[in-house]
Amino acid sequence: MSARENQQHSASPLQSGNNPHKKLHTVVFVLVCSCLTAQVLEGSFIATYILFHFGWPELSLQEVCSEMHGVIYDDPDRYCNFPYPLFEDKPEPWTQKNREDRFGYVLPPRPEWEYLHWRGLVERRDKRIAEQQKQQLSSTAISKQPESSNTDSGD
Amino acid sequence: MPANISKALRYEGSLDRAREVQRRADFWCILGSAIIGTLIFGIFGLPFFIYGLWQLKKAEDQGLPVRPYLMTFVGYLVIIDGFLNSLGWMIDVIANHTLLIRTMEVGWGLIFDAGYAWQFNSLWIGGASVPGEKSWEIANVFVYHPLRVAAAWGFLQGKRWGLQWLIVTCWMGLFNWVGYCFNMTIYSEMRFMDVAAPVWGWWLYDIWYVTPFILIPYLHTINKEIFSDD
Repeated sequence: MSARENQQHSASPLQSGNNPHKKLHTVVFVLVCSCLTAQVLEGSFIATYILFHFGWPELSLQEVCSEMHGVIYDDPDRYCNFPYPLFEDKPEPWTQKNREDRFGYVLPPRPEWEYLHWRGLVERRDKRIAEQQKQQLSSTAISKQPESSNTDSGD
Repeated sequence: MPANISKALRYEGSLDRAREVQRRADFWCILGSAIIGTLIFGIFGLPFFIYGLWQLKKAEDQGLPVRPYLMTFVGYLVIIDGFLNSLGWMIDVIANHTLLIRTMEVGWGLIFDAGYAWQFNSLWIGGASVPGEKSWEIANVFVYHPLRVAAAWGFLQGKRWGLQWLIVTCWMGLFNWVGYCFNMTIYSEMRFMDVAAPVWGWWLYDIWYVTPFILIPYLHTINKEIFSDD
């Protein structure tokens, strides 16, 4: 088999007759062509599309950006700082008010559990049982009190 | 000169010409793919890419033994996918305070996936703040997709390691899709409830990147003899 024939053997199903996986490779060829076309078009046009979608060139790039930030932070006073300083000590949204009012902290919330130290669960269980017993005692004391008062009045 | 020798010489000559044409066409195609892969300058890469493909078609029409179409398309599909997801995604990791990226990404977020608009630039690293996203980005942008681009280049050059690494990275891609999609689904209320084209829009945009799923059966059934050992 020549190099050319060999190359065509299974790499190019549409050109050769002796490929045992011809059907599969034809399906792959169609899928690959569709994906390649879509990716090339998306990669080429998405940035331009987004700018047009949101009103450029009627709005300048900075206006589009600021309006959008107004929407996502629900604050008409938001603006896109441009040119942005090369070194900034805190994230941009932290420098403007109201983000916490709308969203809560951006960092995952702390659970704020009590710290469980060595065999802390045992102590925790003992404490709970002691409290339950205390409650039981006080409730029996309360339930006995009206009974005794009733007997008193009955006498 | 005996007929068979002159035939052999002609064949050698056409192989050399084919190699040269292919090298030149690959240069334009890869340049085009890289520019398309930047996402922002994508539109400027399209002519280079089409010019490269046209060179290959011309060579094929002239009967030169260039690489078959399916191999070329598979290679460039992976290269463009890899570039879009490394160069194109890298902008969220390292260029997230430029005006163009802030506009582009938040715009994309408002249409398809609010993860790219919600609390944008609020983390210390900037860019998308949605839980889990940054970790996936860094793993993909700095490890997975560069590997894929390199593998596809080797595959296009007909090298055995190219084929092997394409197989390896396609399986990595499977892992990647499952992990990414589950992370996204877990935070779906935040990401897909209040956008213009929610879940269906995301799939319409991203279904074309399922390349690992398409290529795995192909790569396991391709004739391995055509790849060189070096």
